[in-house]
Amino acid sequence: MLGDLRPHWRGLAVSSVAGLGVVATALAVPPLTGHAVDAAGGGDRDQVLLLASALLVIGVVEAVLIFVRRYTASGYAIKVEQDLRRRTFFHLQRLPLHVHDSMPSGQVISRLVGDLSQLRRFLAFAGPSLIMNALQVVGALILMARLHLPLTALTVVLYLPTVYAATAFMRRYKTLARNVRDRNGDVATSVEQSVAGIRIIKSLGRGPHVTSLFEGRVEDLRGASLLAVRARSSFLTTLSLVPNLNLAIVASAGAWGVADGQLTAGDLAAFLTALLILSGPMAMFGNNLASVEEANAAYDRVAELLDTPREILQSSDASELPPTDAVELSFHDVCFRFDGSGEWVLRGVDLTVRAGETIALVGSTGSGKTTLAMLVPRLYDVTSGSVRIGGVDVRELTAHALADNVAVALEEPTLFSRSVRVNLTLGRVDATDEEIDAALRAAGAEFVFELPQGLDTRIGEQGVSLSGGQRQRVALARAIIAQPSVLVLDDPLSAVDVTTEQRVHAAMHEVLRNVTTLIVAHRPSTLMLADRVAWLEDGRVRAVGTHAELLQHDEYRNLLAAPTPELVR
Amino acid sequence: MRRTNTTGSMRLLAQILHEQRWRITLCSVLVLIQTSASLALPALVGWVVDSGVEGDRRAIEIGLGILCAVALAEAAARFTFNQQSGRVAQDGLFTLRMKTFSHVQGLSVGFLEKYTSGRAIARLTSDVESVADLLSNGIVDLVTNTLFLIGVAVLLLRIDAGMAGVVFALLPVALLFVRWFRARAKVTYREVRQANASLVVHVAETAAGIRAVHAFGAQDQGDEEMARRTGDHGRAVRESVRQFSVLMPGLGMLGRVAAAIVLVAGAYRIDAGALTIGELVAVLLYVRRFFDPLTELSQVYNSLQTATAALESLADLLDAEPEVPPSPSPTPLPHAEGTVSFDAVTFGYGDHEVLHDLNLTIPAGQTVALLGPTGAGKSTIARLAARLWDPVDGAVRLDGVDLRDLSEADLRRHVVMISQEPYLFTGSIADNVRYGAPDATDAEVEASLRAAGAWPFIASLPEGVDTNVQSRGARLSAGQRQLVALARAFVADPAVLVLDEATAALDVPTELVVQEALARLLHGRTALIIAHRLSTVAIADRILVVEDGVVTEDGSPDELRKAGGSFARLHDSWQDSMAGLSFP
Repeated sequence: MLGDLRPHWRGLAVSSVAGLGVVATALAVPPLTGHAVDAAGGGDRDQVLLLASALLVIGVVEAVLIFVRRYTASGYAIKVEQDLRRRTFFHLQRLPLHVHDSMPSGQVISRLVGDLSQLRRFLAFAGPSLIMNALQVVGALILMARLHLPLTALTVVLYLPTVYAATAFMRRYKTLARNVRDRNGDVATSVEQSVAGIRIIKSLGRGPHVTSLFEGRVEDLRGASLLAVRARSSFLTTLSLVPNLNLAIVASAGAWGVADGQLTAGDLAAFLTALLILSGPMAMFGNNLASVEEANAAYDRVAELLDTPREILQSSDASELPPTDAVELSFHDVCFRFDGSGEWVLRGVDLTVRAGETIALVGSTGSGKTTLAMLVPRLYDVTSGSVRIGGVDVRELTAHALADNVAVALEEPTLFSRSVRVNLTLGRVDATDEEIDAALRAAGAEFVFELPQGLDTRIGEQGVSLSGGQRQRVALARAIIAQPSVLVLDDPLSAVDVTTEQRVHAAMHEVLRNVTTLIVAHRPSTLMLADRVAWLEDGRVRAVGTHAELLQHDEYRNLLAAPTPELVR
Repeated sequence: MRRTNTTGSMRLLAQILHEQRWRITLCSVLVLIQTSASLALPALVGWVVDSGVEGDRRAIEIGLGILCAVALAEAAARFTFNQQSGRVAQDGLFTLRMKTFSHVQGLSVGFLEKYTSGRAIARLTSDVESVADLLSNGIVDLVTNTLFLIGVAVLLLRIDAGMAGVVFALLPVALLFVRWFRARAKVTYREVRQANASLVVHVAETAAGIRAVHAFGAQDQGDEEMARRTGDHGRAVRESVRQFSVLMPGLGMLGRVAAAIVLVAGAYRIDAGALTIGELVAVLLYVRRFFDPLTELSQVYNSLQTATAALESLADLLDAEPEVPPSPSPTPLPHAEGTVSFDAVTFGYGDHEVLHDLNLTIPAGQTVALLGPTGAGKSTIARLAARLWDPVDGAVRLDGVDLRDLSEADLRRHVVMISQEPYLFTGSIADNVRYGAPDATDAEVEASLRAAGAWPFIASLPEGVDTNVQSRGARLSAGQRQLVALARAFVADPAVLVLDEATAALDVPTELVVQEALARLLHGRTALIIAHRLSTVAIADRILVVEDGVVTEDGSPDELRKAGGSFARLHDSWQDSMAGLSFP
């Protein structure tokens, strides 16, 4: 955490100096007031006016210094927060998919937003205040030691339990604070799921069920928070009880000393006044130390995310591959399994898609079609074997080269809450309006032109919502706009009605002519687009050929043939 | 766009405070005890020191005892206060979260799609938390500091009314200052909440859409957007800190100004013999004590502004009307035959009418397929039947009872809808099936998975039904997800089933499995199916062709095929696409 502060040492220095200035001005006020009162008593009006003006000036200076301290402190704290958030987000976007699959979204969100805000508040307020507290304690102790050494020694000894209490508290509180942050992430996950799955919840009428699950998460969070409150209460109480008991004992011991004549009443009074100065920062210590541990827990959670390795790494001598019109896509003895699960999804796939050719992947549910398609854009990496584009292993390509060459449209299209244009040009930011126009027509997504602000219509959050079929067509247009040399389509029109599907297929023929395409097909109609078909079975290629050739196999025919019309009663 | 919901936020706050009123009262009393004990300590110390001067050792011992007792009392009061104020805050947050969440569950799908899960998360996490500070310390600080302020004001008046007048003259200045702050803070704090929500939305969407981000190499665009949003957030936070950093020391400065004025005025009054030096010292001390609580109150005010901005967002969400309000006095329907009827139903949004005066009766046990072009009103009919929407005019009835008069529990037991997207929740396969019936036994879960044809693939998984499907079912294929979704309907065992394009994205063998499962599922139930595929239509007893919100054809598949209408044409084009056998 200290490393993150280093670049901001100037702000830190300015705010610390201003902070010291605030302490100094506060100390200057009592003696000045004293002199002024004396002058007023002595009838010296000029002196009173002078001192009153001095007090006014000090008041202004103090106010300015407080402003500077708070404002500069929050300035660097905000910068640290932003730097960390950008870095963490950068990292997050580049984590492999299998990490994302196992990461509850709420935890990610609470780390990137809530935890970092907590860290900022600590750096801006509690952190500097803690340093001030420490300085004040040291100052008060020096003042006391100069007044009366034995009583100071007694005070230090009597204060020792607070040191013990503080170490014990910080050890314990760190776990408790961490638990609160974790439970917070769980609540976020619970909300995310219940909103994303609202259709299911509503149609099954499971509102009460989901609410009770949420209540469980919220109860857990409350429980964790209350445990933290309890630990904090005990510690704050100790920090108030010890100074008060110390005051009682020191005052009594001092009074005995006065009675014995070892001490004058004036000395004792001065010492006790200094002792009261000590109790101020002691009281603030508790909350500030608690903030240290809260910030610590928050920082740990962010650091864990940052430390998650980005497994799919670019090789050191990564190649560029300028996108060309047509390029060969090949799979060489490709095996794949999701890590942790022993099941092989692909067991040695060999397949070549010639330059400019369109191959459809056909196979039953779970045969590995979608997984094979996802290996091309490196959404996952092969467990063994290789996927090559133009003879180059996709793992050898720079991320840039890969993204330029490959575009995908998935069955469940992801659109972001931005304008339609931003969504369409995700793969190629500099696409012209003509290119966008052509792609929208090819994908049968002309409805975009009828949206209130056309391409600039915002969709999703606070925008227009699109139907499943419309979303799929926008995603298809997006893949076309990217002008890839390799196109990967996963049943991209499953939610589109028959008439539209036929229209899109006609237009797509033109687009696919010069693009090497792999298309996952579930229905005979999709095969219209393919030159050849690769038939997958249990993670292997059973056969490759034209649709007509493969129809010789009964099993293949069963895979694609429609339920017979006789079924229609 | 800048609509404020101040009344809504204040109503929410008042509600929570009302619920917590006894605990807040207890906390205030505890703070008073604690403060009195702290104030008593110096006086007692003075007494002990005086006893020392007098050499009265017995008195010193008694004093020590009393001091320790007071210190312990203070500690007890402090501990209890901290505990109880923590409870006030946590219970308040609990209430807010549950209230908001339950409300969100009643809102329409359309509303939530636009609202997004990200904003809902922001509301239920960071926004709710910004109220914690106000609840745990703010209210009690407000009470005690106000009491303190009044006490000091009374004491000041008793010492020297004229000097007190000088001090009070500064109060309007303080109020003007606070007004300046409030006008700005209102805007800025709202911006902070909005910027925070926009961060959450961006992270949430990126996490949900990470496949597209990776596939298009769009990470840089995501980074830019994050830089922009975190920049906006930082600016809003910085502005809010700036405003409060002016207010707080500003009020402190007024205290210094007051002290200076009192000194000068005091000098004149001493000359005039109207004031003693001792009294001047006392007035100066009280001036300090007068402005300190004022600064503390500014902290409370800051917490209040923060909380208000957050509560406004929550109030906006709570003000959104639930789409289908629950019946105040539901008609019980413990058992349903499954007759569904549309009685002169009209439906539309805004001035766009989707259905007009639809009359339709589906006898119990009949399977009806709805056909027609996109936007014709098929989904509307399905959603009205499942009461995801209510008709604008007319009524939808189950066994003659208006759906609006049924309790939510009865309605959802008898009518179940399986929608287009087979969404799976994070958790095990069994957990997901239990969304259909939370109380289902393990045997019932297995039976429903078997009935849905999902058992073969589940049995091959190492952990079977306990397999974690991970985020959004990432580890299952589209077909497998659909089978699990179908098992939900089996376990729910409703009298009426509404299927929305449920079998749209399956390969033929799986679709055949689903067909068989569906045939089993539909047996003895009323069903309303929206279909784009011939295979789904194949199992229907009756076809309804809907065009422009009107039923244009109604009959058995055979009848309609022979009638030569749009169903016949659609049927022929299906035949063509299915007849891949003659394909080049």
